Parts: sequence; C-alpha cells; structure tokens
Amino acid sequence: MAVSKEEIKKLSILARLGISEKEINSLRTDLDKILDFVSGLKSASAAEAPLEGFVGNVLRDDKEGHAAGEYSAALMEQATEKEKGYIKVKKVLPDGRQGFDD
Amino acid sequence: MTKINLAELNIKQAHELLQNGSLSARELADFYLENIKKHDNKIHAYLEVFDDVLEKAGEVDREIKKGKEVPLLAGIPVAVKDNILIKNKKCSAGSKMLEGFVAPYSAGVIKKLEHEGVIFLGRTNMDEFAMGSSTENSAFGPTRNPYDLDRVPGGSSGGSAAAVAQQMSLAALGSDTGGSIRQPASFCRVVGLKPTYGAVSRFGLIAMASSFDQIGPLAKSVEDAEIIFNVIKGRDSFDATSIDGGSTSAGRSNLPVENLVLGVPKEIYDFDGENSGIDQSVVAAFQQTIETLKALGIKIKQVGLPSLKHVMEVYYIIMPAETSSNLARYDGIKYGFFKKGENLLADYMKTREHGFGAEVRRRILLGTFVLSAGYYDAYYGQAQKIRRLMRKEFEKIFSEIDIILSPTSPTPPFKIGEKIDDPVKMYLADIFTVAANLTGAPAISVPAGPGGAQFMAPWFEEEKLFNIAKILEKNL
Repeated sequence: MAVSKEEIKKLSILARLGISEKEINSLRTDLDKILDFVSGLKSASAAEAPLEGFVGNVLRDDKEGHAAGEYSAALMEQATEKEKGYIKVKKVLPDGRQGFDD
Repeated sequence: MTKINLAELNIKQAHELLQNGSLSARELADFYLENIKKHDNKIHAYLEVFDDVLEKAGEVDREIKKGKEVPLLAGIPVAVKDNILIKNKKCSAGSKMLEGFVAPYSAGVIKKLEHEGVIFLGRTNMDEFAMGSSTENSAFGPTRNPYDLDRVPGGSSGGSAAAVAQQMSLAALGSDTGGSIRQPASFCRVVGLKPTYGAVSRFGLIAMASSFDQIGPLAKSVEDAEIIFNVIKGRDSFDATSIDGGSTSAGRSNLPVENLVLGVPKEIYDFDGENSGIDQSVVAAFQQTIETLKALGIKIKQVGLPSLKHVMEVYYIIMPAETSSNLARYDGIKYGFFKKGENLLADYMKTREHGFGAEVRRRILLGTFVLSAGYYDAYYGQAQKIRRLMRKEFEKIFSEIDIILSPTSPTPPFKIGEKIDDPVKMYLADIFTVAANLTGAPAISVPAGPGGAQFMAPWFEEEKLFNIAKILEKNL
C-alpha cells in the first residue's frame, strides 16, 4: 500500500500536525512499512464475535458538582494567552475559511 | 546501618526497621538519594529528583517518634514515571510538548500512595508519550541499562526499571500499554506488573491508548509489587473505566500449586519448532524456566491461541488510532509548548510539528490514517473484530488452563541505537506482551534469565500471578 504525498498532506491537516518538505518522504517510507506490517490483517478471517457487554455506562447523579470557579484559576494558570479570564486564540473562522479543508 | 544492608531491604523489612526505630525514613531516603548522585549521571533514569524528599521523610519520622503505628508503605521511597501527575510537580511525559507544565492535580494512585506515607523520589525518564520499547524516544536523552551501559533498559518505563535495578529507588510506578512495564522490567531484571484493565485508576495518567493503559508497580520482588498493587488498585470515581476487583472470567477456582496447569501458546513459543524469531539465549532461559516449574510438579502444556498470529497488526492499528485521538489535546493553547503561526491552523501545525518527536508524529499520522474515511473498516473495524475474537479465545483457554506462560521479551536487551532507525523492528519487541493489553488480562514479568518469564492470568486474578511468580522467584 503506497501512501501518496497528497495523502500525507491530507493526514497532516486532519491531525493538525505540520510536516516539513524534507520529512514527507521519510514519513511516507515509514508509513508504508508500517501499513505493510499491519495489512496482513485485512485477509484474516474474523467471524464476528459479539460485542462484550462487560462494561456498561458509568453515570453519576446530576447534582451540584463543585462551586462555580473553584478550579478555574488553577486550570487557567498555564494557558499561553489569556484575557479577562478567557483563553485567547486567533480567529477560529478566518475570512474565507482559508487553510481549513474540513 | 551499613549501605549493603539497605540495598537488600524489601518493603516489609524496611517497614519493620522504620517502625521499631532502627532506621529513620530520612536515612532510608538518603540512601537512595546518594545512589542517585553516584550513578544517575551515567544512567539517566531520573528527569527530576524532587527537592522535598527529606522533608517528607522527616514527616514520617515525626509520626513514628510520636509512637504512632504507620502504614506498611510509610517512608518507602518510590520513583514515579513522568506520565503520572503529582500535584504541583512538573510532568512532561518525556516530551517537549509539555514544557513547563505543572500538574494541577494528583493522579488517583498518587493520592492513594500519599495517604500511606510513600515518599516520591522523583520522576523517571520514558519514551515520549509512552511510545517506544527502549526509552530512546525520550525528548531528554535515553536511559541506560544498569547492567550494561551500552544497552537499553527497555521502554517505555525504562527510567523506572533502571532506578529500581540500580538501587536508586526501592520501587517505582510505571505504565503499560503494550508491555511498557513488563519489557523494561525483564531488561533490568526486576519484577513488573500490568494489572487487569480497570483494576487501577487511570485518572492522572497521561493517556496514550485509553483501552490499553494501566499503571503498575516495578519492584525488586514479587511481594513488593503485590504490596504496591494492593494499595493502588480499586475503583476511582474519577475513572469511569475502573472497577473494584472480583473475577469476571471463566477461570478455574483457586487451586493448590500442584494442581496448576500452565499453558504456553504455540504461536509464541513452539515446543516442537525452531522459534527462529526468539534469541537463542531467551530460548535456553525459557527452557530452564519450564524445567524448574515442572520439577515442582506443575503441569505445563502447549496451547493454541490462533488470534495471536495477528497480535501485532491488531495492536499497531488500534493503539495509534486511540493515541492520535488522545494526543489531539496538545495544541499549546491551554498549557505546554507553543509555537506561533500566521493563523490558528498554523499555530496548531507548528506547535505539534515542533513539540512532538518523530515516533509520536509517526503514530499520530498512522492513527489518523486508519480512522479516516475509506480506510476505517478495512483497518480499524477489522482490528477490533480480531481483538474481540482474541478476548473470546482467552476466555476459553482460561477455562482449560490456569495461567499462560511465555518469555516476556524475544530478545535480551539490545544496544542503544540498534533498532531506532527501523520502527517495525522496534515494534516487534512487544510481541509477547501486547496480548495482555489487547485482552485486558493481568500479566507479570519476573526475572528469569534473558527475556524474562511472563505469566498471564484471568481478569482480576492478580493473586494467581503473585502465587506462581513467587514460586518461580524462589526456585529459579
């Protein structure tokens, strides 16, 4: 299974993971090797085993968890950019949605 | 108290000496701190030695001086793998991506051990985000095997294993997703336990693959590993996948040793075959293990677990898939390493490109691939089917035998740099250990020559593991 350069670029955007031009080829080779390694599975016979009902949903009562703001300061402390108690990021929807393919 | 004596102490002995006043917790902690100073610049097991070790030890001493009965683990020095959160301590999962990150809360297991008075010595080196079998993937340099500094200690809990082996800690915590406690335990000749999936809380463990991960102990003896397991196990309301013990398997009820039947899967070690995928030294050592156990009257037979033929493929599809999902949170926005781009997408792309090392990026891309439209069913869907089949096969086999036996690793510790350029070669290091993560069954590795010996038991029957492991430990 040969992974194309286009495929790698698509994956990199999906995974929000930048890949430099010089890395693309070594990553293609690595991915090819690994996919080769795992594709024996495609031909394995897999008589459908029923989904195990071993663990169910684990819920808690819908009542007061903790006081509002109790953990906010600790959790906000390490944010890269903050403003007035909010985490600050660049525009999520840039004009014309440039750069986002999904 | 001479240093030689301290080196031979186990948890129970240390506790006795602490409780009766022959040894202070400060002295005990200091023994390990001195060893760290003496050896760790060669071995590099620790990323950080905590600066409050003696202070915490002093607190235990004060309780003892007051005449109080302290818990078994009070004053016992333990090293903690760098992916387990300790409140107000740095935590980096061996990665640049968590540069500067300080844990805002403690993991469930840490809270439990703290309650018993354990002294945390520091955080140990690991493969970045637990991805690796040699600790060479750490962003902070490899750890070396105390028995041969040119060789790897195994991974991803290499720092923890090396710390225990080199007397730089009495015991350690590690995490195991595909063998990351057991394989380094075998490489460093210590005991390593991966509990049943769900037996120990994952709250506060930096997630790698959520349906595989478990925290477990590394120690010098089976009994020490058992003591730590019994403290850290148990349902945690902060981890919805954790359960309180109780066997859920089809395993046979507790039998005396003479009636035990151990099964060696043909797919791992063929009694009649050449076993060319296993190093000769491991074959010889494993034969020795089998003879030792047989001589005690334990029955050992060959069993068939056909799904094991695909164990690596299943693991290297499902694990990267879960990993790619778990690592999506690292974006530099809420904490950690951040590299600025021209827009938000570029912020993410640059941060993750430069914060993550090569193996992490490989696995994220692989995981993204197998989960993407058009490939999902052929890879991920298929792998999950085989995984369920494997579970069923294990359930059936545990109704016929008590414990599965195999070597832990197909090779003895390899040289640093030997496998790092070939990901697939490195992946094969896990071939005997991953089945326990895929099925959730508990497994323990015990020193038994090159390759170690691994026992797997039915779900929540860790006691069976401790019993057989102690037998081998005593008689080998």
